[in-house]
Amino acid sequence: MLWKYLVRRLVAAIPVVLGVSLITFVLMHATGGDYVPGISDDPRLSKATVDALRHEYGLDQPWWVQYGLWLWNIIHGDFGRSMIDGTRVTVHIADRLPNTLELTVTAILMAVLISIPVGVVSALRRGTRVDNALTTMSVAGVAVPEFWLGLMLILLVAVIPAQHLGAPLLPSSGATSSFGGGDPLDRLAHLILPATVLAFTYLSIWSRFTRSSMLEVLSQDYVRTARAKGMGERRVVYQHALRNAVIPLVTLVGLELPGLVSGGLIVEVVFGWPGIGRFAYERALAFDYTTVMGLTTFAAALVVVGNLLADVLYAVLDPRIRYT
Amino acid sequence: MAANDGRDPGFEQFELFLDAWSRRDFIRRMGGAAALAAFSIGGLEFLEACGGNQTAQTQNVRKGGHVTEGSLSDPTTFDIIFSSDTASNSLLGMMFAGLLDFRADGTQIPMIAKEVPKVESDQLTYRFNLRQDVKWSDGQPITSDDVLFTYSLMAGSTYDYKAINSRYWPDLEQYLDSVKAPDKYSVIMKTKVPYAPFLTNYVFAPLPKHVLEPVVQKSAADFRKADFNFAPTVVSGAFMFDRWDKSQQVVLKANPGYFRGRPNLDSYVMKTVPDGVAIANQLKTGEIDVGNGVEPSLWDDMATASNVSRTSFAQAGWDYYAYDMDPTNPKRPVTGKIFGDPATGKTVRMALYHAVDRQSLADRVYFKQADVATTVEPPTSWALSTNVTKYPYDPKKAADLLDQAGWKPGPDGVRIKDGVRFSFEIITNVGNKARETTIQVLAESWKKIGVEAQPKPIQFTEYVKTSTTRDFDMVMGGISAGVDPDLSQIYHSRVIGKGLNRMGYHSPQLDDMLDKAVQVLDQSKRKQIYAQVQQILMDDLPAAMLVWPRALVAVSKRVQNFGIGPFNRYQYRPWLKDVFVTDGK
Repeated sequence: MLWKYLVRRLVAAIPVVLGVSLITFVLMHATGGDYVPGISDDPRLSKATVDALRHEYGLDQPWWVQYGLWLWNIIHGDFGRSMIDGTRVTVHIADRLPNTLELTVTAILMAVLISIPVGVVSALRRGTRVDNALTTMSVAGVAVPEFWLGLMLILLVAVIPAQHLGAPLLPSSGATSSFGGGDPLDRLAHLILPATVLAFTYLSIWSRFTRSSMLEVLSQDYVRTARAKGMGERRVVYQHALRNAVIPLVTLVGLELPGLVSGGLIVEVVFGWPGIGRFAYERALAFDYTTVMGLTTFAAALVVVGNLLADVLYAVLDPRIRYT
Repeated sequence: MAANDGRDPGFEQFELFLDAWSRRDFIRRMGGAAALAAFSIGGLEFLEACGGNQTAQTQNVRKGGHVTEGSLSDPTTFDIIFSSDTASNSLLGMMFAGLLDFRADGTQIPMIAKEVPKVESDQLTYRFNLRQDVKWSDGQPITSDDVLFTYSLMAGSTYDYKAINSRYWPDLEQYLDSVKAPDKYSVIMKTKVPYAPFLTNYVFAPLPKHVLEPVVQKSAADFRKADFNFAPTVVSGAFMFDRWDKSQQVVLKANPGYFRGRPNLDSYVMKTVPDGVAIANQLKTGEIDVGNGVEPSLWDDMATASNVSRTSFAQAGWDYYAYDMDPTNPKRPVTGKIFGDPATGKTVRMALYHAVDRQSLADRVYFKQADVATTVEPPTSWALSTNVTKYPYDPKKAADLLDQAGWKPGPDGVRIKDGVRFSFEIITNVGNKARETTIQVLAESWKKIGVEAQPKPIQFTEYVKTSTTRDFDMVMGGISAGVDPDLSQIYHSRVIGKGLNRMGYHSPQLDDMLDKAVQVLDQSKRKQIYAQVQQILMDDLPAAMLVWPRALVAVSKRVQNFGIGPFNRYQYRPWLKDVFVTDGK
């Protein structure tokens, strides 16, 4: 019963999201205390003024009262307003989440589309030079830090061409051009470099995984049977073996779903991508409590839903799995 | 909008706020020019020459095109009451013209006011005559009504704006007696006592009353949330708001009705580039035209980019260390007695200062983009005095002084006196590389004279709290100053535990002089007082000045007339309308 399963999973998710919000709240409270961002640090403001603001924000209450109030508002659909700029937290999310999803979904798609063929080729040609070369690249992909790869790409694709040809081959920062930008082609040009860097890390792990999974499947009885009954090698590999080999990969990709929201942080900084990861990081450092609480809770909910989707997808790929 | 761009001595925190945000040593600090040498020869003329206010090129001016400036952090709000970060303030300054403006050297020039007012014979009254040809971008005239409205917003007289808590309110309440408008184009401001910093610190750019009054009357507290603060519809400055792509860029377009004439550029873009290396890279690729505050470690590298020219100049700020020197501070009784002992405290403070090779600090930690600080005023100040006690690097003398003060080497090499080891913690805020390195260097320097300092970078919020809690042994940090040389926010005993006098420094003689200095309106007389103030502070050493970091600005060669200088770098940019791009793009 799929729908029953879904309901049960969603109910089970509530304590997870609550737990995340509670931990975030306690951490923020422990490090920030009654600090009012942008205000407490201005010695020209009188203590009375700062206290009045503290009261306005409820920072003079015990932390459990503050958390309770926050929870009450969330239940009523109110994420509150940023303490730094007074903007609704939901507006902040809506302004930036689409950019992050554009980046991370592209990167994950790129990684999946490349890692599967790479893994299959490696498996089929195990021990050959091709396999060794691909293995080396994978290891490098895991080992190389994102920011370094990003800076190198910027240097090779933007800085050096700009110094010699007068213009960068691809833009090195932002999601759109300042003027006349915003069309799909312009966005794509801005997307290529950051998405490539982000995809590279996923790609390395997933291609290795596909390779070993493929090797395992290729040695299974049913593959031998398929070959024995005279089935063409292409059909054996792509229809029988591959479909079984990628099932575990779905779990692996599902595990990366939290990265849909946060995984782009370093890439967002290096490429000036206007995403939610960088924003959350900035606001956490600035102690914008309301914004950080809203963002983490939202992200937690998103991850829960994402994982659920991955599980459902699992069933689609593997009819043997039943939900009870 | 603060008249001094929020850079009066009280604003250290503001600067730190940015540090914490950007994790990098950022915009306000580092610079590069031979400012120190210049001061001994030519003083402020030098600033004129190397900084802003170059004679604007009028030949071959091209109309059109745009300039893109890189900013490490996204602006937060165009709410003038709360805005305190450089990105927001710079954009506000481009959109809203002031009554007065600043030249590179900090002298004031008239904008909406016809002339810079002279104080009247009562030493309290300033009369502003407004130009009658200045209009808001919707065609409405800018009048004294707008000025009154803005001050009531700041100072909370007409409406209950205290609910908004303008950061200027406490000061205005203390010094501002009244703002009146005898007619449509005159404003008379009166201070409660003669107050010298008034014109530079508390003359705000007017806001459009006809647009904002309805918003505020609904609810004063709602002013913060007003759409106007995120997309100003009516402006008075050289540029109008076009759009804000959050976390990415703010695009401004030329204001055709700007009262000083339409700017040459069609648009000005403030682009968020959250990484210092990325700013340098994008200057090279031409994706940004202006880097207002390049990281010192990248400054030499910028010279290799053929499309970029570099400008550097002294700026109003310093990096320093301060210690708890109040023997009665219950939080730190030990260090309070070491540094604040009436008999030997001063000798100890001098000894530590002599033991630091500040030239080497400026060369290595600040990549030669800082000068050794010689006094408590910033290098840009008109009140700068050279006639103060000097503290050359002299570890031998330092050791002798400690011997004199009765601190004798102990068994583990650390000096001891009356059973107390000379050992303390030195803190700075995490994430500022130059500062984290500096406290290491200080600890190494003092180890050589038998003093144990434990470097400890701490969280930004904790660091900020040191001012009020005074729970620290020694703190290393930076302060940006404003145009006015007033140092009350740092050394006056009334700001112990409130302002930046976290040292617990209490000198009745100095308090008197600081109070007197702000009430004397004659600049040459003030200068004499501040010369004495500097001599006292450099002799007493309640805090030790380390270096004066320079401002480093890189500008694309296609951009002309970018007249940036120490005091018109962010919010005040009277030169902005003359900027043009040679390729017209």
